[in-house]
Amino acid sequence: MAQQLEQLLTCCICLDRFRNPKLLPCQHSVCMEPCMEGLVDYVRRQVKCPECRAEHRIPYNGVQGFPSNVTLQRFLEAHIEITGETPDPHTGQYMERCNVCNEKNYLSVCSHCEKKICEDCKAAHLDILKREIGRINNQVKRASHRLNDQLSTVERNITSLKQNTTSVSDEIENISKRLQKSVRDRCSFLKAEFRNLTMLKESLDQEVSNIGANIELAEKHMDDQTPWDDAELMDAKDIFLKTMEFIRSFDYEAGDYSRRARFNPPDDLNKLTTSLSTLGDLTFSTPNKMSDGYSSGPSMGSGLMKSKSDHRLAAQFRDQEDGYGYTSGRTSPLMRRRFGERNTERHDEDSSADSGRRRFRSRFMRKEEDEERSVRFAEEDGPKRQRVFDTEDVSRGPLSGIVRLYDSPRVMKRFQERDQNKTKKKEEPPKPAQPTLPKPPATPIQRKTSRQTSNEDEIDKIKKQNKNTDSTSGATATTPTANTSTPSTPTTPKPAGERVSSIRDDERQSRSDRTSTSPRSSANHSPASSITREDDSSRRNEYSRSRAESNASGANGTTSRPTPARKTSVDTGVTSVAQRAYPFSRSSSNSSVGDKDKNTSGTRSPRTLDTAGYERRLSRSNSTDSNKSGDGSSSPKKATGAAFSTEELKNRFVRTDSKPSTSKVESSSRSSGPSNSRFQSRFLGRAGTPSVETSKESGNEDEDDETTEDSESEESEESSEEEEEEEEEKEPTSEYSRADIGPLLGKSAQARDVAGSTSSRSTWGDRSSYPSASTSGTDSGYASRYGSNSDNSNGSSNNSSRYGAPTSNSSSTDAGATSHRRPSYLDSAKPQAKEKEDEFESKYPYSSKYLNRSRAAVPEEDSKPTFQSRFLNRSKSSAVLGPDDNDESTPTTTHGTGRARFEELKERRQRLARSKSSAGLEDDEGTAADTNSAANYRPRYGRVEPEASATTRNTAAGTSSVGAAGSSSNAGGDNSGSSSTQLSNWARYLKNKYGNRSGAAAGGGDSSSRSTGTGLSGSTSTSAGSGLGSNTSSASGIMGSGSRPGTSSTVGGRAISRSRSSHLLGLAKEGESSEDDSKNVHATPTFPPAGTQVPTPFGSLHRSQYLQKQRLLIKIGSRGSEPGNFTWPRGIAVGPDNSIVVADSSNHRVQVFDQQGKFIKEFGSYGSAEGEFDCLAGVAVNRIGQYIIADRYNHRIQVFDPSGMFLRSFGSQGGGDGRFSYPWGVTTDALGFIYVCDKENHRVQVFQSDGSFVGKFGSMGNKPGQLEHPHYIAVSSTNRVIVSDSNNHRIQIFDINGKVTTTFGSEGSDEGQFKFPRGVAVDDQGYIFVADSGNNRIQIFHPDGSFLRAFGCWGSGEGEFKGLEGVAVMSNGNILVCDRENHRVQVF
Amino acid sequence: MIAIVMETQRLMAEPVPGISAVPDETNARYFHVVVAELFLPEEYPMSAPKVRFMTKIYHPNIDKLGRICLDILKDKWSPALQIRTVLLSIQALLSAPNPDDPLANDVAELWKVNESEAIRIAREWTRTYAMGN
Repeated sequence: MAQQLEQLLTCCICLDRFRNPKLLPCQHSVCMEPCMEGLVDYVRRQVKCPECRAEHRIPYNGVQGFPSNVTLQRFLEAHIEITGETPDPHTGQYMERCNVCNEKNYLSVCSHCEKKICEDCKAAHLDILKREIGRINNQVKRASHRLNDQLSTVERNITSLKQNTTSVSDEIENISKRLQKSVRDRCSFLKAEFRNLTMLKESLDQEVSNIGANIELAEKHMDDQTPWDDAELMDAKDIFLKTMEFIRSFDYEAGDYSRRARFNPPDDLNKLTTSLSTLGDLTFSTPNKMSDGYSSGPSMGSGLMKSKSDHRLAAQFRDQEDGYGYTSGRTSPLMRRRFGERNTERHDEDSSADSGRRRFRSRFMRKEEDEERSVRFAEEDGPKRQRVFDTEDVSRGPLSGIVRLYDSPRVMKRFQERDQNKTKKKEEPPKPAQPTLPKPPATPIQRKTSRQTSNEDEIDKIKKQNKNTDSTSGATATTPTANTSTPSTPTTPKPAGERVSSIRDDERQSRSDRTSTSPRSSANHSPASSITREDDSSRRNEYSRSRAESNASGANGTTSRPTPARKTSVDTGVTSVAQRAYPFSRSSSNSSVGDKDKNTSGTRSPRTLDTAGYERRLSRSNSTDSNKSGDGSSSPKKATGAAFSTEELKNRFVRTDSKPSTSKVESSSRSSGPSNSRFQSRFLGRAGTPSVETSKESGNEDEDDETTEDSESEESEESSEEEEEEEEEKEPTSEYSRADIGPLLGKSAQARDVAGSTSSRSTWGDRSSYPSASTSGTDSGYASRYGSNSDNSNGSSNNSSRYGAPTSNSSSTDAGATSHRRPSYLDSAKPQAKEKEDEFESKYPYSSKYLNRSRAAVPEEDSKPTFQSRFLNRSKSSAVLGPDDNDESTPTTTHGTGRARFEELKERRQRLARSKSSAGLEDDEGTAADTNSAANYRPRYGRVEPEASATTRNTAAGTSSVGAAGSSSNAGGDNSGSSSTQLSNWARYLKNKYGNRSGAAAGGGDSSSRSTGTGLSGSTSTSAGSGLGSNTSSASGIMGSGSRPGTSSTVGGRAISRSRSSHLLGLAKEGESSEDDSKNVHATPTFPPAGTQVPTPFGSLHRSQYLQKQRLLIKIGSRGSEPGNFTWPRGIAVGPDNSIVVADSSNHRVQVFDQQGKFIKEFGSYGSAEGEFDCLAGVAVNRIGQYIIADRYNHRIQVFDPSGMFLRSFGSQGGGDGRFSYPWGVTTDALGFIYVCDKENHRVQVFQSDGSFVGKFGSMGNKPGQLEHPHYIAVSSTNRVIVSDSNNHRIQIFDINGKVTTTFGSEGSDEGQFKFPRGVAVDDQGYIFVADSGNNRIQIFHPDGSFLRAFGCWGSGEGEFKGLEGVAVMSNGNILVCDRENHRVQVF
Repeated sequence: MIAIVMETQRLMAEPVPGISAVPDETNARYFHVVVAELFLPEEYPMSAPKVRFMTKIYHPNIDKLGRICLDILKDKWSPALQIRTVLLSIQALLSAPNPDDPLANDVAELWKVNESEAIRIAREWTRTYAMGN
């Protein structure tokens, strides 16, 4: 009954429930949609009833005009009610044609294909997606351990770094103490002089009085009144004579003493500082033990770690910044970073430098490339698509920005649903791809970072906050700060204005607090300090007060991003400070500088403030481990926006500090002269807001430097204190003051002491000042300029200052790095610097150059180079980050060009924000950028291997000289190029490091020039190559570039290298702007070959090359039996001389062509005698050029000598050992063993080169290790035997013992699937080429069997195939394909 | 498409007596019907399925190529008809040839003249071609 009812309610056409049933005049009902429409005969305007075939005229208004069968509808409704069926979900919708299956149906948009499709198709797509996710997830799972490895390594490195740092810093302190003492010894000498002089004076006094007395006596008594006897007179005469003589002869060399004692520093302080800086060798090159985890070895030292952390911080910072927007008010604080941005970051990360780092990255890339492609990038390309998982409140990986799916509300909801319904419906695999980087808790910094990000992300999620705080508390000493930070967090979620205001409030508050504090502190100190000090303090008070006021007013006044207010206030503050400073410094030039700076600061947006604060923190963290924790705590806060207040505080604080520091400097500088003052003023002015901070920092730094004993600890202490203060806004004032001001006082006091001996003092002052100066300069300038990127620079600068100042920097590593770095600069600036000077020298020129350019005082410069080098190192290592790169470039430019440039740069930088090394571009030569980028890598290596430095430098020079072209060529460049052209240390090093691969690359050296050309062509056009190639310097250029790709390839991150190269290309092409793009591209693992589509036919960068493969190079032959033509060519092989050997199967002959496809010779004819063939299939050429032919229908293998003369044959038809049944593919390995695909016996047989049977493997079947009609075979250089298991539609890889190592592929036409795969080939790097015969395409696989690329389709055009047979790959990467049905050989 | 799926399900659930129709694994529109093939065109059910005998059949309404002369497969098709009905119709046609509307004239001729002989030949053909011996 029920069934009948059902039937009554079912449309006879669609067999579904009636949907809007229309009643025909014959009383039959039909669905309106889509059934009725199908019944319409438009020609006759009638409808034929499907049931009774009655024909009805269509009403005037169409089929709509038929009455609806209301009764039926009621029934339907009733039925639904009774049975409780879910109502038709599509009511109210209308049907459309599905965009996939073209059926008319209710459609919805599919996120997978972005089309409106029907449910069925959608389900299919969902399946596909699920499968994809599963696959990717598997990959992720497989690869995830790497991250863990990295993590543990990082942890280990952290500990070791920590230890190292402490020990080194101890050492440094020692040294600095000793140095100090040695310098002070001069003081004591001067004192001795003074003592001498006084003694002289005393004795002279005595003499004078004696003589006077004598004179008096002589005058008075040397007359006749007094009886003198002769002896007495004689004596007296003698005495007077002697006196006379003495007076005459006594010639006090007044010059000795009247001359001002002066301390002449050797040459200038440059030298001293540089020598100092090189003195200690704060070598990060010792880091072998540190880099233990990374097999890349020494290249990644602690610097790397730092850089990494830097980078992370930077990333954080950037995130945060994104949150705030670059310019004030432009973006809402809620703005999230976009994928692209994140990518870039990653990119940068990548490009960053340390090979270790790179390695990580690249590996990551390679392994999870797919995932990225499908997941991330899929997302990326559809920005409009609503991203369901990627919501605000999810936590995401700090590095990759990968969302933690479990946190996504959607996911949670799904789970909930599932649990509730218990229905099988699983919208998504429980945890599809959860590549969320485990937040690396390893490095404190890292931890910090992660927390920061998470904070940022989860601001409004209290739950998450809790979690975070927990984690943080778990972390380290960070706990209190972290907790404190949390409260600050809630402010963030508020709308921008509100938040801003709140921040403002915070600021104000903090400021007020601070102000109160600062006076107090100053007061405390004033007794200790001299009068000037008191002055200072009072001034400080004033400042702070005014500062606070101005700020407050600004806050009140503007709701929008505080830029104006803040700026102004800052400006004023700065100005005032600067002005104050001037009188003290007494240098007129300063004022101008200061003004300029002021202007700069004026233009700067509040962002700078952030940055500065951030930097500061960062730098501090860098400086000391202990600091880190404090920093960490602070940074999150900062991220949340409370940071602002912090910064503000700091600024204020700084400001107050800056005064003291200034004064101090002044006091010291009085004698030291303009240099100091200038530094100061400059620093003040330039930095603007940041400068203030910087100044403060400088103060700190100074303290550190001078009070060597506790400097670092103090600093850290101080920093933490500060932070605490900031957070708790009060209590530590005294401490703070102690920390800050006390040392300052001490220092000043010291300075005063020193003042007695001017020279020494000045030295000191200089020294102390410049580290700070450099720091400040860089920090502020850079920060202001970039706002966002500053972190690294800060860190580095800080470090440099730290190291550089007290111990005079010193470490060979540093120096080395510096030098490396420097050369690049030098090169760009003045190529003549190329000579391999030692690092010092190189440094010097640089500095001198710098001097020329900038008006800053000498010491400052010195310090700067130091800093820079340091910084460079760091940044280099951390080049991963875009910001870092920026940093690098920035300093360069800054220094190189001087102020104006600098400003310009700054603006640029702000605009570009993320663009890498583009600053360099801006510079005089467009090359700079290239150089930079090239240099990025180089220094890394250089650091690792000092010997390589020379080469590197050369390379750099080469690069620069070559210019953009060179760089581009570099991009395209190969290891091979570099190694072959100059088998230098570098190359050797590379080779050592990377073993075969680079070695192989070297092998391909001959093609270097060509490769260069290709690189160029990639950027511009194919033809351009020659010019480049001819360029002599290109070689070196290649080298430079070579280093890069080499590394990357080593890492296994071919993708990286590829992208890098592409990136470079982009660079060359479009300049800096393109760089961004390229970077993005970079991040995209599947860099569309579009940009670099030119088939890089040569060179060893196989992966990139292969990825670009698509275009036909040569096409050999057509159907025919004359030489050069084929009839069903099957096997193909490449001879040792790159000749192409083709088994022209149905012509029963072997043809040999040269590399260009020119016919050389043929041999063989039809028959079964010696040297005759019957439908030969496989060919192989062994190392000595002998041809090995699988004579298929004769069931034998024939061997010919290189001239084509028959040597021997073996085998006959059968199933036994050494017998064949239709042998097909044949190959040979390096040892000359012959592998034969015994097709109909479903096995592979191995023979010695003389034909004696060695072994066999495989049997009929489809299990691993079994074969079904194996067709072709190839042996890699690593003795992996690759067999195309044709009828199983897979490729199997055996070891030489016949054990299966890998099996991949299945039947299908997707990537990595086959239909009757035939030819296989493997290149010297293990990449596997498969002629996917049934799909008429070539597929390329990674050595591990993962899919790399496919190309080709059915057809007879270029790059199209009909029935593929053998493939072979030439040593230059060209792929040879036997296109059977087209009777030709194609070369790609 | 829905209709096809539904029909298929129903067909599998309760097959037409004496006829097994199995959808092709790769093409839901293609059915293997004992000795025949049935293909549902794109417009189905608005147009008739295409049915063809794969083996030679001695039948006045079926030609040498296996094509069937059946009105409902041609102009008399109605969307309300289904695979089931089609198969039933063919079954009926096989059991009750219509030599008056022949497709294979010689067969029709024989059928008219000597039905028993015709039936014998038909049996023979069936044994030979359809049953494989």
